[in-house]
Amino acid sequence: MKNVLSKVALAALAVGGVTGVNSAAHAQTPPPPTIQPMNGAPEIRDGEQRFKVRGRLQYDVYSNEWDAGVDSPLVSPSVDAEDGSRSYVRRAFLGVQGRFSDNWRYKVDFVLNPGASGDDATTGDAAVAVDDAYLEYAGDFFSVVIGENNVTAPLEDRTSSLDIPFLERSSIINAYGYGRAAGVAGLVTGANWMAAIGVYGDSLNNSDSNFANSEQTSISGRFTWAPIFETSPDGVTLLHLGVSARQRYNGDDALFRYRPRPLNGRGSRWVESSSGSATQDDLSYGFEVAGQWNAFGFTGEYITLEGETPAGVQVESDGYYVDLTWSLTGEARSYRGNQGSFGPVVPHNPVTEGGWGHWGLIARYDFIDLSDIDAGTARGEQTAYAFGVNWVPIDHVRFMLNYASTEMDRVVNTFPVAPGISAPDAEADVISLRTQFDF
Amino acid sequence: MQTQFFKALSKIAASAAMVALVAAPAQAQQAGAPFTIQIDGSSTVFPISEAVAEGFQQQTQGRIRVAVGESGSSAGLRKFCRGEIHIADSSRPIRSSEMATCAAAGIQYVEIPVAFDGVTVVVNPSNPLRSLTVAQLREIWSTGSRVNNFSAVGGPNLAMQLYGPGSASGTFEYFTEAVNGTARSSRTDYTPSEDDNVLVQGVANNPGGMAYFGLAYYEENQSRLHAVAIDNGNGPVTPSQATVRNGSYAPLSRPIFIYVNAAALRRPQVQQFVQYYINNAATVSERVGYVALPAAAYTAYLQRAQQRRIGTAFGGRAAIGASIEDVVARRLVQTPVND
Repeated sequence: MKNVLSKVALAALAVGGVTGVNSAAHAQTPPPPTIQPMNGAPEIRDGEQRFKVRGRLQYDVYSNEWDAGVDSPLVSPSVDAEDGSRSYVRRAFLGVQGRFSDNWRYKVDFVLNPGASGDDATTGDAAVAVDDAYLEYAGDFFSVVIGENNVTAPLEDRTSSLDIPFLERSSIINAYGYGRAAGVAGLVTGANWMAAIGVYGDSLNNSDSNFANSEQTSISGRFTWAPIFETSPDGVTLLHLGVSARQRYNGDDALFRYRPRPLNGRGSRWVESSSGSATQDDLSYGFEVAGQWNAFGFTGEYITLEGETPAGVQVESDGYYVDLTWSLTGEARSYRGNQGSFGPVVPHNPVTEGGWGHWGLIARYDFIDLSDIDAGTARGEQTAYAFGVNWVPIDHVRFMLNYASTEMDRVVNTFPVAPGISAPDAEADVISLRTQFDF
Repeated sequence: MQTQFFKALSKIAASAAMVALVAAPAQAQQAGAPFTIQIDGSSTVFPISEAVAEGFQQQTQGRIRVAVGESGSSAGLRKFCRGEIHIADSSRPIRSSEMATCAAAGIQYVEIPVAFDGVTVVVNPSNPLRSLTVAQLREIWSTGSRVNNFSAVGGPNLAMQLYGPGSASGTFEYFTEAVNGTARSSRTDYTPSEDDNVLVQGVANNPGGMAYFGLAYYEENQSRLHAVAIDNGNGPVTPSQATVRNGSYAPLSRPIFIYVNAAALRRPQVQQFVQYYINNAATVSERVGYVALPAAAYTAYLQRAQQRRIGTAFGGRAAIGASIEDVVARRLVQTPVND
């Protein structure tokens, strides 16, 4: 190598000496900016600088069928009213990503919620918010991320909403409040492993008042390792293992509540911790295992959580999910060894090339135990079974059909409609169709 | 309630059945076709891969098919690191950024240097220009160059019409680094193509034409082109198999490669093909106009393929001015080398 370099240096000196200063200056002139087609939208490149507009739209049509155990208006008028079909925009993002140099990078996604002033105001979705919004300094084997991010979150939360197999993430990811917050995180990565640790405050979407609230804080970390990871044109063999941990303190912010929906992006949360006795701090541990063998894949995560209410009562909860995926058209999920997360399923034969695109069948078992989470009346367990069909006609376009049957069993009878009626358990059947595209 | 529920289930079942019907023929088709080894990348390496593939398919009587593309070294390695092809042809060593991309996608590779090439600068046979110094080449090809007449570099008073490899080409990267000092830094007012035959045509049909590409394309078109001797300070040296072999054609002599997906090498078909490739690389590369490596080198590379020894001997860097002995003696590494 040294030998080669010295030859190059000598050649450069010789050339420089002969041609003089003028052409040496020419060699320094950078090439003009170019536009590269990539990832659904062109990227502008000028030297090390890059810039790309990005966005996504997810539009859901769903049909809800609730059964709260007893057909009585006294039992659950609000839940009965949920029966029926609806459509709404689940996600509409518009953002940018780019680089100021090879090392300094950024990404900002604005979340737009059409119709947020109506129904969705009660669910806390603001009309405009941020999703990812961070600055990153990236070296070859490490990076530092500052801003709204989730780089220490468990596997399913780290997998983009564009690429998760089902419409919604699991109960544990939703109920335990994973997702993005503003903070500083450091990552060290190898080809098939990564380690991340972060210190976070509130989400940037949470606007604290000047006097009443001090910042919520958390510290979290994640480590992933793929002991088996081999890709060839004929298939993928993958075994992914991961652990994560998070400690949160609410500061003066709202107490932490735990409440999953019945595998739907909207609708009631039947099993939940009550607002009055939620926790002021909690500590959770997550365990991940995932595998891929060509067209077959599985993912499982288990998370256990312990918290303390303001009254000093210790509470605990845990839950897990298992996903099975089968690509009828043979594709494997793409996996990023240095991020420990899954990417999109890219069709082998897109419809634009006369193929069928990607067709996949998926199944999920999802469970969360919130029966010890507090003394509230809505605590209980939730079990969901879900099946789905995904069609990716071309990269960046996906149609998803999900059916989810969810059993929600409360510990306490909250509706004394008649003597002898046990805890009012509910069941929800939801069929959803999502149309999504991104660029 | 229950009726609704079963309605829903039947809908799901119907759509699943539809999917199965739709998907089944697609899978059956895949199963029936013979296994195809996918190769893409450098147009410089293409003549070797194409000839080897042809011989191999004859030998296996069509039981194993080989598809060879020539989209350029960079485009080939991009596909390779996305897991889309079994083998990437490349006229330069894998870059450190490509090493990282491959690694994060779970792709390991076995690097096989297959031959030596001399990047050949050609002009129209009617052009009396016989030689250029490296400095003059740089004057012509450097970024922002305004040299548009051969008289500026000691040639006739004749307007230049420049042709050259496109930016996805390994030859482009090698030439710009060896001549201009920075890879990919080049004037842009020339007619680019990843297909070397287009460049050959351009120069053959234009008295003022000038281009550069792999030696094989010159050897194949000697009657229609004239190769310019290159003076690197030791007098003009005409590119030929002899001057590439003895190391005197510098700095434009270089190794050319195939990169084989290591997981795919477990497949008997791919292993069989790669062994056939290495066993025939010397003969085929000499025949198409390149320079074979020493026999001992091919023996070592055969072992490398059999044992699936992964990594690159170049640490993610270019190999400007390396001799054949130098290339053969290098040791494999799996992470980029910075020095």
